[in-house]
Amino acid sequence: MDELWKLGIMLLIAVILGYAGVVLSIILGPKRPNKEKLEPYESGVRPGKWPRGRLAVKYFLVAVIFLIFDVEAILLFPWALHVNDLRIIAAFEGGFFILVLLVGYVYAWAKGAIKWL
Amino acid sequence: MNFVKDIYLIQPELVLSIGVLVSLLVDIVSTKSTKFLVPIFSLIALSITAFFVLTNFYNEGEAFKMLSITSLSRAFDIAILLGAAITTLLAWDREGEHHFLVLSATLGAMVLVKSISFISFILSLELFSFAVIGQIALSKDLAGTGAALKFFILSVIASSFIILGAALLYGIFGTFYFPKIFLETSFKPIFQAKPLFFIISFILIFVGLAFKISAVPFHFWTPDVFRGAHSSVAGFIATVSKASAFGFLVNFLYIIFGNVPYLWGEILIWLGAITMLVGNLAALGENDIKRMLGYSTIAHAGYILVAFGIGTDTSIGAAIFYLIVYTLMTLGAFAVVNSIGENNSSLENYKGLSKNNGIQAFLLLIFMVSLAGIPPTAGFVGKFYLFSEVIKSGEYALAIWAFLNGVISAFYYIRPVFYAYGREPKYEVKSALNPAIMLAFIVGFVGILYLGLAPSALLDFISSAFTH
Amino acid sequence: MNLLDILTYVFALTAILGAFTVVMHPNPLYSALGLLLNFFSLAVLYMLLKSPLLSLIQIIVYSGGIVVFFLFVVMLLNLRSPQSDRDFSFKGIFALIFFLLLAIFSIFGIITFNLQPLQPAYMSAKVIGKYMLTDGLFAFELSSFVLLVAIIAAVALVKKEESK
Repeated sequence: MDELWKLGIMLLIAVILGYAGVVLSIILGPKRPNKEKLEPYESGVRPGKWPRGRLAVKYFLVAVIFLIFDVEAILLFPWALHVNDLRIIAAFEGGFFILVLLVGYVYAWAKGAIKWL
Repeated sequence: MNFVKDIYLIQPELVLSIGVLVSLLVDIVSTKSTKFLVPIFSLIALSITAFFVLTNFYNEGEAFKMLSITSLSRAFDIAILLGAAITTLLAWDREGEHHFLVLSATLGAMVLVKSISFISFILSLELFSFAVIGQIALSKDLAGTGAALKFFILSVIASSFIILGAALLYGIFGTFYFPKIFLETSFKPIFQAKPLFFIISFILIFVGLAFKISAVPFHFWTPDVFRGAHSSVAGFIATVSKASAFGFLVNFLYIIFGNVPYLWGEILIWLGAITMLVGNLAALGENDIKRMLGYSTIAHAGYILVAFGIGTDTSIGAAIFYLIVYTLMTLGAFAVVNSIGENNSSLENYKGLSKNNGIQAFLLLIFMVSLAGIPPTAGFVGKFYLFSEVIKSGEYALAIWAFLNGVISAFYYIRPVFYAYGREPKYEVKSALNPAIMLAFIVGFVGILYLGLAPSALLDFISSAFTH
Repeated sequence: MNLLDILTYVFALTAILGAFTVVMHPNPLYSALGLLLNFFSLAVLYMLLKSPLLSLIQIIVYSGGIVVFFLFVVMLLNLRSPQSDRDFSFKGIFALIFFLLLAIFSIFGIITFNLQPLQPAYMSAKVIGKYMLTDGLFAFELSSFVLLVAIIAAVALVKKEESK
């Protein structure tokens, strides 16, 4: 509780540092804009089309799978804190949980949901 | 930290959960030519689970502080497993994932009927709803996707009502565990102190459950979803979803609100009376057999709600008997729809059915007669026991009301049969009769005639759940 | 008023600001970013309420996953020209009534229940983990099945799209 202010100071420094880079470059940097410079940076490639086109549905699949395993990771976090005191029982309990999701992972793999092309 | 007793109590659920996982592995290894392995495995898993349910029928107790395993809940399990097995037969040639989703929805339903904690209740409800939404959406057409979206949005709203109600109860009592809430309401005057929030939470949770049962003000989704979904999925929603929601209603009403029966007894009876009338009247004007069956399930939910509202042991027993009979005859009717064709559900296609598709026309006759409650079918026996319970409780007006509703329902149930036998064929209907559908027909036909002629065995079995 | 109180109010304000951006901004992409601001501020508020695990979930699942998902949906709908729906129609009035009802309900609830802050000992990750492995074990295992169904349904539906 009382250590929370340390976290606050860290956050504050992070925010200041983050903004400092942007603000300082606006203040100090030379500004000679031309058409090339004002275009969005696309790793050196010229942007070819309007950026907000429709995305293929496979991006969603990746997002859904990511979200589900994200939730799994979060649910496993409190479990991981207890593996040391409960040992074999915790191993069984968490093992079953992981096993169930592992079957889902194997399924997604076998059906080519993770394969990109 | 001793879970051995708990695990012993939930053997059927454990077996089914392993079946869920293995069914997925079977789906992975099966190729296009061995696709039939998945439904076969699914049936095996369901029958092993049913075997465990029957052998553990009289093992009662509380497991994991979340499940109350009673013979009553096991009786609901039988209705659930029966519905799941017949829908697996109807969906024989669908994707392997469909059968996986049927098994997981069954697992959710079995946990749901035993939940005595809001945590397991909401989780199993979500498991069930997600699996059903997946089943609907697996149809490859626009109608199926639309039905899935409709069902998804409405079930999410229903779930949010339930969660809000559960949160309110947690705010009052500081626990999710039903028996503890029961204790609080019996000894402490806390219910008198905060009746408003208690009643609001009752209404919120009940609204969510009424959506699942499709009781009247929340029934509008039923015919639309039934029309868009594959007939096996529609049958699954009509039977398994209802059985699980009714099973949970027993826990919910008798444990949490067990000390305030005046709050819900009358509500259930009125709701049931209105539900059966609305369902029956709306079905009269339907020209699509799937939508008609949707309204018919609403009407049947009304009959069962009335039995729950009376609330004696025998009336609940009659309701479970009716639920099993209803599962058989509704799924039988959906099997006929499935065999005639998913897209031929307009009643026009049923004209002159007896000329080209004699088997289907005859089975349509049997199932419709049973749904209408005409002897010697099981539908008559089920209605007879239900109505005699109503009379026994002294609600004569209600009994007459329910009887009149049965008479109204006969009109729309007999119409397809009349079309099938009395009219000339209008369209050429190509029906499919694979072995799986034949098996579903046989199960429905034999079950309905057997329970219609010799109902005492099942009735004794159900009443033994109360008296053993 | 100490530092923590000030922080609470600052982040409560940014949470409301983010929520307003979600509702009011004409460009749906900025609305999604407003949602991100809202989620992040809520995470800070959870931390200030001494509930670190909830705060972690808020950042990892909501800010990291859900907002990305929202952005994908915005992209899929392909809203090229900003859609503005500013007429004060039935929808707006309905939302306002619902909001007012909810606000009255919450305030009334807080007064009747005389809510006390939960002890920090109840909300640490260790305590929640202990609950998940003992009393809540069944729910823990059941949740894995809910996640499994979600994976399979998603993969099966998208697979259908590709095989067409």
